[in-house]
Formats: sequence, structure tokens, C-alpha cells
Amino acid sequence: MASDQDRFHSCFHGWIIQQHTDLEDLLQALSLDANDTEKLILVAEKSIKHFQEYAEKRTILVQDDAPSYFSPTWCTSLENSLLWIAGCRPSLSIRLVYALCGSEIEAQLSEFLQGVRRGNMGDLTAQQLVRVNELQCKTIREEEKLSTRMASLQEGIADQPLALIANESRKVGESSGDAESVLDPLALDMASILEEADELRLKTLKDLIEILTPLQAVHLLVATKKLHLSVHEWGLGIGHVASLLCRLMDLDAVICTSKRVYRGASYKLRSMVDLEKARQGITSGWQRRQPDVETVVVKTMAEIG
Amino acid sequence: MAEVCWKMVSDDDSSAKCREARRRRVEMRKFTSIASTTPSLPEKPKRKVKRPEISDRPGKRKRNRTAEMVESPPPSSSSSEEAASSSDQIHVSDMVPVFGSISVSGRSREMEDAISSRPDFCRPEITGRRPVHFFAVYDGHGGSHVAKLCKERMHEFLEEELMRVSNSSSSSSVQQEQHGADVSGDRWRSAIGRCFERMDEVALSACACGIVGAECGCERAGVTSEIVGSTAVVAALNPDSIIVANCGDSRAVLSRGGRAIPLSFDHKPDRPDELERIEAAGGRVIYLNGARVLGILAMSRALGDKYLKPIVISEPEVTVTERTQEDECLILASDGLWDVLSNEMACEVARKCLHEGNPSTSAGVLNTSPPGEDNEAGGMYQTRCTLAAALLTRLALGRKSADNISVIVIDLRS
Repeated sequence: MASDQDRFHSCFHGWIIQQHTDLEDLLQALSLDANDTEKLILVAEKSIKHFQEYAEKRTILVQDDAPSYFSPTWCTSLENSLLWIAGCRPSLSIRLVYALCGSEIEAQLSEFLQGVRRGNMGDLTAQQLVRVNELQCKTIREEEKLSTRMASLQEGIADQPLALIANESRKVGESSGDAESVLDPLALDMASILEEADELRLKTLKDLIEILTPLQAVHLLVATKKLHLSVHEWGLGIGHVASLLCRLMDLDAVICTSKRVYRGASYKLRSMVDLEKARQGITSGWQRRQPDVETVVVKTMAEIG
Repeated sequence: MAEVCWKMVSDDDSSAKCREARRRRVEMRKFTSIASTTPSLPEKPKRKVKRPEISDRPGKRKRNRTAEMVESPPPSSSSSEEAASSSDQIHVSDMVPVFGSISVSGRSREMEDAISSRPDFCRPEITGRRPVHFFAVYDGHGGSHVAKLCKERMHEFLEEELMRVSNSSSSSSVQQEQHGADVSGDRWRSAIGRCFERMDEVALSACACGIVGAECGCERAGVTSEIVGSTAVVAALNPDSIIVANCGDSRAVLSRGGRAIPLSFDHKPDRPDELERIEAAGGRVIYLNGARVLGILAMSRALGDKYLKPIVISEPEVTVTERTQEDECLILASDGLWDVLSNEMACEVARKCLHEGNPSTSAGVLNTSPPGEDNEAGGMYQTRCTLAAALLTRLALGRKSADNISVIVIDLRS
């Protein structure tokens, strides 16, 4: 299990790093090649391709332990609270188009009325709006279908045979071959729902890119990446830092004794890089067998801060 | 625009078998080709294209008439009345108006709005057999089926009622002229009143699944249809006047000489006269997330809503407005727009789009039209009205409208 978790974690971590890189590329294209349609198409396609690769990688990994993906330990609790079938809602990218086009047109209204066209999301044409609307209606229907499948899967555990196995076992939670023979296919069902959800997420984004001009597409991708990465960072709160450190170091004792300290200092930890530094600092302190663990932690935190 | 219309029409698959629907579709296609052209083009060549298509539709008087016109423009042999109205038709005010519309789900997960545009939908005697253009916005609640029904049927009912008015009063056309606009206004009012009444009956008898009639047999029958309804704001545009019938909180606003003039007045439960009417009918207005009838419905009139009858009524308020040279455009929209944009702001934006918006620059500054958007090949020509409708929609989205947004912009300049 632990090695599974590590593979899952590194897959996600790799995706975050990839998105940072893609974001830089997209932003660079916007600032340097905003008039170069070919370049914009290329950079958008690359970004989509990376998303597709991540989804494909996930599809393989998820076969080993689908439930992990529904409450991933590698995400923050903020991210987890926003999950829909182990990812974002596919309709989220459409809402993002609406938000962008609305705020941009509001900002450039007087220009627009004078005939100035910037070509950004604020200039969404009537036909684009109609097509985005059709896509939205379709996507929401697909979302509902998957939600319903997820609901019946969740409700199904109170049904035969799982409920009966639980009810008839002498000791609560007693492991039995019977239970496993039911739980394994359950996990596979989850994996297949997750796979379809990922497909829908990818397809919705691809369809949107299709509707938008290359420039608008790059704008949307930038907004998508910024939103995901920001939510990821914003969620790195106290509790999460503590639990991540705990898992990274495998030093429960350290965490327990220095919880007080974490409360004061952890808000400064803003990224995985900081976490890694903290882990190394604390671990080396531990290895040098310094008697006062708390001092080590405080010192490390202070260095990071 | 073409896209919008095509979509609207192709949505009617359920009634597609019906010949009537096919007729309408032909009409719509024909229309979109007209609407997609600039209004400044001379009228005659367009008619030549249009006529032969119409002439193969049997049965209706106006078609015979129009067919006649193709064969012999100024028809000297026809009756004097016909000749007069025929030559009138060349008049610019009888042209199909340029309009643009859009209807999006927006931030709501349910699409309950519907829009309907039926230019030249009938030529009753009440307008001297000159064309009447039908535009409407329906904003459904509790489900979309009443709004959908309105979209399918309302214009048919109005056409029948209007044709009936002219038949029954054909002998009193002299009298009509004597009494002037008042009588004409009353005729409109009564025709529209009956139209809404019939529409309401259909809405009340429809099952939540959208099937009309009691014997639908679906599992939702009679259960969920109790508090399903729709607003309706209907504009019947003719060469002389704009008749607006309203029921609920969708709205029609006229831009005239730079001012915004509302042609309908929202039926909100806390409107003093409506509050009085509700209480007189034994109802109460409870403030639960805004004023609501019995704490349920945030409007005091609607089509459907069996459960709230007779407190919530379907009787429309009708305004008759004479057209003037100063009229710029008419905007019909659902509350998804009006909740976040003032009448003045909406009119100003639409007006500027129509006046100043230069269609030649609307293809985009980068010459990168979105894929599939072929402006040349008649895919969709962005008329200024369409531009205005889309702009208003985007503004509403920008102002965080959380509802469906439907907008129709009709150019009234001759």
C-alpha cells in the first residue's frame, strides 16, 4: 500500500510541476506571441496533451487502488472538499469561460462600443455563446449521469451482499475473503467511473478550445492552471502541513510533541519545496539525536520563514 | 443568429412530424436568410427569392396573395384593397425587422428559459393585413416544460385569436377607423387575453413530462406539475404599433430617442396593486428570500402553477405603444438580464451597438474567427442586433447573473 501511495503521490506532484511549466509557457506565448496564431495553437495543444498524458497515467494507477483517489492524501483538505469524482467538475471550465468573458467585457465596454476588438474572452461572439451553452447543457447532463452512477455505487454498500457480510460477521470489521471478493470489484467500479469522469473533464476542455479562438483558448488555459495551482497552494494550511510532515518523516512523535509549534509556524510553509526543506531539517536534527525535538522544529521553521 | 434560430427550430423534434411544424421551419429558414442580410438592401430582390418558397405552401390566404405578387408585382388585376396593401408591403415598415437573440443557461444548471421569434407570423385585418411580428421570452420555474409549451403554442393561439378578431369585425372596419386606436387597442387586448387564457389551460393540463392531456401515464403525472409555470413577455410588432403583453417578471423595454421606456411592468408580489389583488384573493405574501406568494413564488402572475391558482393569475397586462420615428430598438429579456442590468444601461448598450458598432470590425481584431464560424458562407452573419444581444448577455454574466439569460433585440429603425 505504501508504495502505491508513493506512486500516486509522485504522479500528482509531477502533474503540479508540469502545470507550473505549462503555465509559464502559456503566459510567455501571451506576452510574446499574442499575434502568432500558429504559436498559440501549438502551446495550447501542448498543454492539453500534458493533461491527457496525466489522465492516461492516472487511469493505469487507479486500477490498483481507486478509493485512494477519492480522498487523496496528496491533496490538501481544501482541494479534497472541492473534488467531484476525484477531480474538478467538468462544467467548471465552462463557468470559467463565463466569468472571464463577463469580467473582461465589463472592463472594456466603452472600447468595445467604439468598435475596438481585443480578441480576448470578452469578445465572445453570439455563435460562440450559443455553442458554449450547448456544450454546458450536454456536459451537465453527462455530469448528472456520472453522479447518479456514483450515488448508486455508494448506496449499494448497504445492500446485499456487503451489508449481510458485515451483519453476520462475529467481530466487527473482521476480514474475510467474502468481503474482499465484494470490495475488489467495488474498487474497480469506482475506477471505471473515475476514468469516465477524467474523459469528460478532458473532452469538455477540448470542446471548449475548439469553440474558442486560439488566443481565447490560451487565456482559458492560463486561468484554468492558475485556478488549480492557487487552490492547491491556498489549501496548504496548518493541519495539512502537520499531516504531510507526519507522513513525509514518518516521525509521529515529532509531530505530536511539536504541534504547538506547528500552529505558530506552519502558515509560512507555502509549497512542497518548503515542506521538503522542513522535512530534511527536522530529520537531520532527529538523526543527530538532539534531545529537544521542539527546538529543532522551531529552528527549522524559523530558517524557512 | 442563424445558428440560434436553427437550433430553436430543430429543438421541436417532438412535433416535427406535424406539417404545421414543418411549415414553420421553412418559414424560419427563409427568415434567417432575410434577417442575415442588412436591412438597407432594396426590398424587391429579396421578395423574389422569398416568394416561390412560400407559394408551394397551400392553404393560407396570405400565401396566395404573396404568390400573386411574385408573378405580377404591382398586381393591377387584383382587388383595390389588395393592390393597396400590396404596394404598402413594399413600404419599408412592412419589412421583416432585423433582430438578434440569444438564450443561455448561464450559471444555472437547469435551462428553463425559452425564446420565440416568429417574424411575419400573421397578417390579420386588425393591422389592415399588414404583417405582425411575434417575439417572446418565457422564463420557466419548477421545470422547463411550461416555457417549452409556450414556445411551441403561444404564437399559434395568438394567430388564431387575431385572425378571429378580424373576421368577426370585418364589417365594422369603418367603425374601427372612427374610434381610432382605442378600439384597435381593445381588440388587441381581448385577443391577447384569450390567447393567454388558452395557453394557461394547456399549461395546466400538461404533465411535468411535457405531454399535454390528462392521460399521459408517466410516473410524474399529476405530482410535480403543480408548481411548474412560466413567465411570458410577448411583443406583437406591427408597422404602426408595438403591443406588449406581460405575465410575470420578464420585461420588454423600448429605446426611444435615447431614453429607456419600459413597455411592461414586472408582476412582483410586493407591487402594491398586486399585493392588494393577492390578499383579496385570499393569498398572502411571505418574505422568504424576497417577497413570495405564499412564500413560494417570487412573482404574482404566471402561466401554469396550478397549486397557486387563483392567487397567481395568468391574465397579462397589455400595453399598446404607437411607433415613432425616434424608436431605436426593443429589448425583451428574462430576469437573468434585468436583475443585473438597468433598463437604461441595457438600452444604452444596445443603442450604441446598433448605431456605432461597425459590423466590419466584428470579425475580431486578429482575423482569427473561431473555428467553424464562417462569416462569409452564411454560417452566421453577426447582425448588429445579434451583436447587441450577445453583448448584453456577456455583461449580465460579468455581473454575476446566476440565472438563465435570454435576450431578444429588435431593430426598430426604418
